[in-house]
Amino acid sequence: MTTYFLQRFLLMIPTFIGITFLCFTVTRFVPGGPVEQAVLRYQQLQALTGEGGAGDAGGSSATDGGPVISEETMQKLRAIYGFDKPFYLAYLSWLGRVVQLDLGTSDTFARPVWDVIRDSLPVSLWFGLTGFILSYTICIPLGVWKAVKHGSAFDTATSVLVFIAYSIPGWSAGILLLLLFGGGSFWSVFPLGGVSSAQIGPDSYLAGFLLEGARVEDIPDDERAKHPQLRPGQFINSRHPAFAAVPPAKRQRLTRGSSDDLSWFGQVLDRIWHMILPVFCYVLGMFASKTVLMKNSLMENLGQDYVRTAFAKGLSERTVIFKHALRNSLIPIATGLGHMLSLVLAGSYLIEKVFNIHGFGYLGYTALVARDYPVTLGILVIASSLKLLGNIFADMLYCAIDPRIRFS
Amino acid sequence: MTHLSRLLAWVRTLPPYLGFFALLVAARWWLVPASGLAARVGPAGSGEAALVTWALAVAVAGVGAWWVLPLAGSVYDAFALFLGSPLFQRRWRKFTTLRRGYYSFLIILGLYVASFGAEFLINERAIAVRYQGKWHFTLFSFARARDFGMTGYGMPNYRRLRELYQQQARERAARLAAGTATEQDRRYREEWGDDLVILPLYPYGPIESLLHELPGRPPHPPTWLSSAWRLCYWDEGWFELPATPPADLLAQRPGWRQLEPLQVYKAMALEGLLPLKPGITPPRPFQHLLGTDDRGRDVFARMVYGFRISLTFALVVTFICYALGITIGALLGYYGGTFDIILQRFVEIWSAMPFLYTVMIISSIMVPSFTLLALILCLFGWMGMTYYIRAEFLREKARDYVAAARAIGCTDGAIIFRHILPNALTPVISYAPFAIVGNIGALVSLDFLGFGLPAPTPSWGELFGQGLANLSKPWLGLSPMVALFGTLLLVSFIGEAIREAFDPKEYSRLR
Repeated sequence: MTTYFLQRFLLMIPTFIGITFLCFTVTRFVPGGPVEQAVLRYQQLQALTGEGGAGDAGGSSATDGGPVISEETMQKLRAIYGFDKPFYLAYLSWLGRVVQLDLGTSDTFARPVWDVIRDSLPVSLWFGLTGFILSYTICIPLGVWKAVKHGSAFDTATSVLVFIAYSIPGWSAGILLLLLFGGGSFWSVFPLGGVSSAQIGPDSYLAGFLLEGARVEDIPDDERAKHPQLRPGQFINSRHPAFAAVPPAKRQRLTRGSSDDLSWFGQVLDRIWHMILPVFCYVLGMFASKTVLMKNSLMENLGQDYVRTAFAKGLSERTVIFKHALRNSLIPIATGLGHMLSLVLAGSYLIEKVFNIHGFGYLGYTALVARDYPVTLGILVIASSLKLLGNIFADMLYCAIDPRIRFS
Repeated sequence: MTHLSRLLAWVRTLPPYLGFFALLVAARWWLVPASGLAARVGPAGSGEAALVTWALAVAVAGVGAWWVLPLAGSVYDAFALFLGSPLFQRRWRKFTTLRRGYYSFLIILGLYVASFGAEFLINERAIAVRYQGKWHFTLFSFARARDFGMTGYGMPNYRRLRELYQQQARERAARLAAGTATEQDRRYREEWGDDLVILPLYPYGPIESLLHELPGRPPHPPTWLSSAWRLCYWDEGWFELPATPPADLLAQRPGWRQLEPLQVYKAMALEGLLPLKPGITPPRPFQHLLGTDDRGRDVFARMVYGFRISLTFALVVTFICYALGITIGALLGYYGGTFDIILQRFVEIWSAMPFLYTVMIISSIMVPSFTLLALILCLFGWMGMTYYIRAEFLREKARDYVAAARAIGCTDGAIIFRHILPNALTPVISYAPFAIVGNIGALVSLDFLGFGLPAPTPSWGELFGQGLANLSKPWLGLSPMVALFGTLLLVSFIGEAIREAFDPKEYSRLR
């Protein structure tokens, strides 16, 4: 068994290399890469400042749409973006750096890719995990109940529900929900997206949870000198270190602000308020398959001989179903936990785009649109290693839960 | 039916090099240019592009004539055996008794077949034009506006052309009645008959912009939604405002008395109590059933053409994926051994790719055409079927009939395609609808993200994106939502019924 999993771990390496090599090569061989974009930016800048405009530079540059860039500059540009080497050497050096956990520097954010990804991961995890846990807590009881009541009106009715859920991709349900509840044309119940409120006005649902605060002008001068970033006309909330110095008579309840100005409970409410629609979409995406899997798995077990034996020896229906059959039928559901991480992260490009949640998937999307290859490849590295690890983890879970399974 | 199969049998007696030349022609002048691959190497007409085009065409034709066509023939035989078997007939009869799935099948099939006639029903081009006694069939051929007596260059606007002809006919009738008819008018009456434009039922196309014909800015609401249109006219300032709010109206509506005059005018306008300024003609109530999108293109036409493209795309991708999956799965299952182990690892590696993200990377970089996008999706989608076919082959090849076939000296190919494959096709049939659902969803998501089909192609995903960007214009989001939901629901009903008929699982009931 150990050797089997060792083999699997070793097999991850060629897989990983294959995936990254394919995508790396593709990014190398197509026009419109970072070097071309840099050249374009340079030319636009030149055209704007009026130096060496197309008019006096002659016919050849006019067809290029801008001033000619010397071969030296091109070489330097290529070296900056790592395009000066042939693709296999570039790939090898890139892979060498990845092994040392160095994903390079983002072209658009001008920060290490690793930092950019680390900022976005918690957001995705937060949404994905909530959706994942919620879908399990809904689908397992529902599947069990459907199996127990197989063929009843309840089973038929929920089957229709399952079909409807299967036919609506989660992200398109998100668009529908935003249309209905986002305040565009029908009801204004939920926010349009994001993770927390950027603006809370006096008529907002959360206005009652705003903290006490004070105007910047009311802060004593000696205290205000310590915080040069405060501008007159701004408000500070009671969490600000300068707030303690404000005389109590000048303190007032804030009437508008952002989610930072909310009390602790208000921030939680704000977070939940923003999470309801996206999490609903996550749940919808998993709802149909999980429910049907649970139902079929329990039905399969209920037909087994050991269930008949348990009934025959006079055990109650409750004991047979919940103590004997359910335990065994949870096995395929439990192995799904292994794919959790990659599903949570990889399945969310669309939902994060719809709800404007700046998470992992959204980062991948924006990096692709901006042709930010270091970030694109960094996300690919993380997504594919999570998927590979998840596959192995699922098999390990399978072994741990079900002693009948033997891999070799 | 027998004629068709006899024709097919005759075609298959032809030598393979004929197929090679036919494929070469098709690949050189259609398939390779359509994929746009050569254009990436050099500009059209350059030496590199021509070389790449020819090389790809020869490769495609060679592989096609000596590998794909014989394979397709064998698979066709296998399917013919499978579909002709009494077992299949019985299962099909069971399928037709499952009403929900069967009717869904008929509806989808009917809509899909009908969508191929969409050009005759929903199109900005006229079906036929009779100008000075001569008929022109303009649906698929380009005609200049000047050929039909219009001024200007390019394609005529056939809706305007019809109005023009009607107006000319009225003028001519007036001239004839007044006795001032010209020579041409007499020829019209005696020889040519009045000029005619036969328009399709819904004379608006999916790509044509209607900015110049509709008042206001796009996206326009559905034309039957008069309240939304009144708001548009109000925003444009196209209502004729009275000098003061009418007193009798204010007496009727006590709530309006506190309002400013402008607000009273707005309320009156939204209730339809104000006339439009002269010269502004509102559209007819059923002119644009679902309004227009943000570039002024008719949404209903785009939905219909989008349905055809989505379903065709899903069918093509599913077909190619299954063809690859069946071939590879059959080889893996039949030969087994080292070959199986090595290729299994390869399949494992390939299916561990983050599918959507990889497709996004490739198609963001290569701006795909229909063919290229289908190829990319096939590249990452064929693995699923190999598992099932491999398992079926592993089970079937241990059966006695395979041993018997081998004993009488059948070749491996004959055993695989004539003997085992017809017995291994059940999972293909029962998983296909769900694969189609998945592929429609994949295309729509890619289009939504902007990595799908290139820009003017009518697509549902692009409309979803517009709907998200214009949440106050609900027809943009709701139309593709309803269409996608309806299509996927029908296809999954078909899938459920097929599974029930082909792969019945008898569960024991508790009571």
